[in-house]
Amino acid sequence: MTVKTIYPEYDVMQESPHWDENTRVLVQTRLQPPAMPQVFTPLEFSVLQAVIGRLVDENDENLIIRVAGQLDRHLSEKQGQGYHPVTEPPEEQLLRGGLAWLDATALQLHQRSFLQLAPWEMDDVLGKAQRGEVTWTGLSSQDFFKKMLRTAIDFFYSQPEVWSEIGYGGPAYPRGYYRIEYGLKDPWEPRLDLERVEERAKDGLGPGPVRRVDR
Amino acid sequence: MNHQTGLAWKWLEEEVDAVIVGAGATGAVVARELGQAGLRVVLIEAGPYWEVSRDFVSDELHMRRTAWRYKRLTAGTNPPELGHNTSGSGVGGGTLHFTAVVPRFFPSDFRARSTDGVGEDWPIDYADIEPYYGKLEEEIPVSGPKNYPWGAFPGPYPYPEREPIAGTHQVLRIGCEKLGISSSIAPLAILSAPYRGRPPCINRGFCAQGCLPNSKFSTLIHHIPQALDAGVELRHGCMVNQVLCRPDDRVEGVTFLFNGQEYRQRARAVILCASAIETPRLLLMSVDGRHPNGLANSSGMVGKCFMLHSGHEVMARFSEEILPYKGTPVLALTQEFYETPADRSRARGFTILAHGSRPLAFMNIVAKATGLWGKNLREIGRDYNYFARLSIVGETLPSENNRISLSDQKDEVGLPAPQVTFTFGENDHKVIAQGIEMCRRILEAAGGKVEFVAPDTSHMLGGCRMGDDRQRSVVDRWGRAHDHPNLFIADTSLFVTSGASNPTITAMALAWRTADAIKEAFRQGEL
Repeated sequence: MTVKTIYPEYDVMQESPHWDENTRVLVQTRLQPPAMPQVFTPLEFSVLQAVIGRLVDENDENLIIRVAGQLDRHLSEKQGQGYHPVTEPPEEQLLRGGLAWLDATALQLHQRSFLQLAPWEMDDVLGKAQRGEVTWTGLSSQDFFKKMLRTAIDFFYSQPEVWSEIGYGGPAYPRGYYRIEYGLKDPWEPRLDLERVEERAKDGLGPGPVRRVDR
Repeated sequence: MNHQTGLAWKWLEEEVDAVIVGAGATGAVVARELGQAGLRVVLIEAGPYWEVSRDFVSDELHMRRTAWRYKRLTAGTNPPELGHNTSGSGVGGGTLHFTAVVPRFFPSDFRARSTDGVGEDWPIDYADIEPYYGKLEEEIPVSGPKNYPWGAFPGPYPYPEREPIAGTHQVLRIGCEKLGISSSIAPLAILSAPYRGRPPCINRGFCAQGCLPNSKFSTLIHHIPQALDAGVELRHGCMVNQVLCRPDDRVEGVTFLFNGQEYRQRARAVILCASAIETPRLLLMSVDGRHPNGLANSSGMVGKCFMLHSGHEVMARFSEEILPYKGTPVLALTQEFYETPADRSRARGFTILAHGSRPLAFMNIVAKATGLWGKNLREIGRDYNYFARLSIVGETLPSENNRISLSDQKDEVGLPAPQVTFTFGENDHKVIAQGIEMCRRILEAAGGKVEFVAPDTSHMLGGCRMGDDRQRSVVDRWGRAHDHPNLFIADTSLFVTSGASNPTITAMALAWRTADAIKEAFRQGEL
């Protein structure tokens, strides 16, 4: 059994009554199911969800559809970073074009659409895109992969349940953080489950057994 | 209210004393200074007028909206990431999301050609801006150590140094101590004690996402209110698209776009504070029959010698929780490697900062460093709390090949999108390599294991540099355009070298000095 989190008791949303109202509303809104996609076509949106799921290793459909929906909304609001390398198309074109090419590549390599592939086959197609082992016209599969991965990270790691999973203490206005030095925690911060840390260590993961280092 | 247009701009139809383009780190200082001197000043800002309590939240993703969002193109061997990290938008500009690290430049930064045989000498010395550093540190005010170990300023800073420091920053200090390297609490434009209704920092960690408690200085909360009190007229949401020039080469004002309409503002002096991308871009866009290559560009130097600091990130895993989300992002640093070393294995050097990380920053660095995704990436995310990060501010030498130019693509308001072409030079790579290696040694000495090293850049500088030789520079030592007696530049585009310090306080000091020169020119009846 894989350890999903070393902070099993921690739910960052339980702290939300202590956040300022604007932050609380913003983060709560992020937990709502998304509206209809404005930018992506239904097919693109389905492929997008599958791709995000593979990139961040997450199977929870409700979580992934929120992430994809928020990405769609970001594109529809045209509030991107505003810059791109001269060799790449703008954000929307790169992402949408890349999703279409992923599907085309799936058909070419596996004779099925991307959505019909087994997870390991999806990973195979994505890996070939990342390594530039496919030929796409109009955009580079490597540029697409990089942009898609960074974008998936931005929206996925902005979800509160993922904050809880990684033990991110979260928004702290107005109360702030006060016990900030080594080994200290404010009372509301995530608490480690040492057994789970040990268990991860047996799988060769994590920092290994917790120990104090001589400083 | 202006009666002819129905707009809330009272001086639109008149010739004012000064138009300032850009309400960021430098434009706000110039506006405050000129306004308090009794001049009639119009301050024009392309972005929105942020209100802290309404617009700021504790969220990395949402706060990216304080970045410049209009289209820009990047090119070169190292096309930079220009997002939230480098370019601000709106009143306050980059000071809304800078980490507020404010060390002074070293005297040698102004003499790189003479002392190190690289780059260029500035037409001014450290001593020329020293008084302005002092005045700024007092009024912002800057918290920092009693004894600062490097450069020409030994301390003490006006406000006490920030303490305690968080785990991330303890790592830097412990590692340095074990290696016999000096380190220090950073000088910060972040309060360690109350000041004029602003509370001390609560270590929320979102300095780079807009400070909610107003513990961090920004020109939005400091210089802008003072400028408005002095009668400066602020127009936000207005994109200046041309500087207008008369046949006698004096500039007569600017045109700007608001809601798709173009308006004109006449002024006796124009001061550009629009950033190292937007100032050269505006000059290049300001073509007329007599200036086919843009204004202030008889030297051909407008847009050239654009610089970014190298900002490479080094992350190490520790065997106990670091909790990198806590504390002001940067609280400790070392400037021990700032200048050319005795063995001359590189010219000039770098600063090392201990740098906290919120989740998006952390995961993006991991992805950039490794290309990992899927299960492997997710597992590293689960260890987020065990990582400490150091980053460098590495000097980049000026090169004419690194430049701002106009592309043939249009931005969202129909203006030519700027293109930023950037490639690190041979010495820049040496600085980066040695900077990364020193970060690695410090992290390992503190008990960490370095796992990720990712390239990054920060701080946009140069492109309209100052100099005495009008063939090799755009403005003189006062920021006045060689070609136009009433056109000034007071932002980071006039930097001659990049130094290896976070540049904001140096940019503000230079801007204040230029404002003094403009005031004097008005007194003498020159403007």
